[in-house]
Amino acid sequence: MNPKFLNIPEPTAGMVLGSIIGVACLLSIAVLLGFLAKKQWKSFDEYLVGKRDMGPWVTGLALTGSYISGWAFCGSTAVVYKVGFSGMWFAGIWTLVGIIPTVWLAATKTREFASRLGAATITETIGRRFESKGLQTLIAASMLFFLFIYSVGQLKAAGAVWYAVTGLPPFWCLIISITIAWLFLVFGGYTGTQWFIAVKGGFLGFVGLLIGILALVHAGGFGAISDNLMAQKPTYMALINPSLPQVGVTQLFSSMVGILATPVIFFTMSVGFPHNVSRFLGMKKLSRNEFVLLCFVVWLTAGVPVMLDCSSNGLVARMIFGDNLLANKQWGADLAAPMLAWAIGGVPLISLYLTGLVGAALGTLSAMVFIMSANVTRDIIKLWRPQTSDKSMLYLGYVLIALFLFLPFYWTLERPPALLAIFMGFAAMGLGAIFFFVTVVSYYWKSATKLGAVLTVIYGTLATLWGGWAVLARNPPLLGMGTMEWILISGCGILYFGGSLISKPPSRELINKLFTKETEATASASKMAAG
Amino acid sequence: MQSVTVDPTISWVVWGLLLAGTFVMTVLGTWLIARRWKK
Repeated sequence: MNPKFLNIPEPTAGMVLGSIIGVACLLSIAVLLGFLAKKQWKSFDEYLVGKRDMGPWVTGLALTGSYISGWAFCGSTAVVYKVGFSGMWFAGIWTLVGIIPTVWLAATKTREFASRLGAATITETIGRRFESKGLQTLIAASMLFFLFIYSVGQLKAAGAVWYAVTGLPPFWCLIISITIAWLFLVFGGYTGTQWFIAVKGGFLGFVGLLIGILALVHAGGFGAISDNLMAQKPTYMALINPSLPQVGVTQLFSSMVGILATPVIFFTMSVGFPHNVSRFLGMKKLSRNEFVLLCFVVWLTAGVPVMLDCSSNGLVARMIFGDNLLANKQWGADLAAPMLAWAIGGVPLISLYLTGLVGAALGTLSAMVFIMSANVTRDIIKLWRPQTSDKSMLYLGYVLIALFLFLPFYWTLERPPALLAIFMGFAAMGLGAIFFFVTVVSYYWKSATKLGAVLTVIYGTLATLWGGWAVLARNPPLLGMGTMEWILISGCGILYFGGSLISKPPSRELINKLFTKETEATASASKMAAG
Repeated sequence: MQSVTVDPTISWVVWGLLLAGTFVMTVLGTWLIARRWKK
């Protein structure tokens, strides 16, 4: 430990009490919303998608809540704390490059397509868009695989901070988290999840903004941060870290190949993430003003707080703690964000932060696990065995939710990922590259076909697996994450468009149903009825 | 060992431009979509 800097504090009675009160309030809200939402659904369909009547505030805040995960709220600060300013290229400085286009491109189209096709999940929407049960099954399996990997990081962030603040061992931190998530998902279904994530999104936006501003004030402004870090090590203030390789193995925050890949990753992962796009499944039909309001809500609550969280916050944490956080071998840099909250705002702010982070982990995890469970019940079993009763599907869903919460819990305890942000970034790359094309581009391109989508899913999944070996497992690495992203995205794009162009487009009837404007479709239907 | 010259002002200017740029992108894009919104 370097005595020039602050050390990790021992948990105090105030920190434990504040955290317990904060998380108890969060849990109470989750249970309350779950119970209220229980009255909103009466069938399996309504359990999965609600009544498609949610407005711009709930939808916008839910998108923020879904997007601001444990990674955004914790891991992104950790990367900047660890490597300096250059870490912002990997961290969420590109948040708005992803999240706002998600609203532009996916909000109204997801609602329209799912509603017209009578689909309750994103996977079902895509399967029906391409008139293919096989594709729906393939997508369900691929989505399940990626979401499973991605869910691991959510637990790690929550466990790390719970440990840091309360001193409880990780086992108890994680088991409490997943029990809360299971109870909430079983009660609330889609509507309850949406409500809870919306509340969490608003709360995170507020806490994130508060910490970002207080950190800058505490540090004494940009000049003071620069002076301090230049004295520690000038490369912490460099836009490109020269200690990382700039040729050969292209890391996301070193070479230009990696730096240019990062906005593409953030764009595709935000637009392509099923748990983001699913927020629009239950949205009502929006007016123009409501659409503008939706964009504004997302910008205010997701954009600004995360941009501070993933840049200046990490630098201020470095300024206050030096290398001291890295002395903790188990959680290391992941402690940067919570310790920063403690250093600048004492017990009240770290309690708020912990509550926000547990909310972030539970909300995003809930959204993912809900989709994973529906991937099996709705997108595979109900698809191939429609006579299966809704009650059986609901009960099976409850068991699957428990299973999908338990598996990442176990894996996190047995083999914690070395660096949260990079590990999760890999699953994010695969999910984003595949589903950007298969979901969102398919909303706009009439000629997209089943073959193009199938090739994209298979290639994207295999390329991600290979990339995991080539980048993370092989020693020395064969290539860097920057190059890997370009291999992924260009391969998915070529196969999606190429496969679609050489195969037969979907039926004329389906194209008319999906790509005719709603007013024209209604007029046409009325004319047919009158005729 | 290679010496490194770092100018923190440039780093903050680039950071500020990114923040401002994404804000302008948000406003412009939303305005462009909203003006073509069907009645």
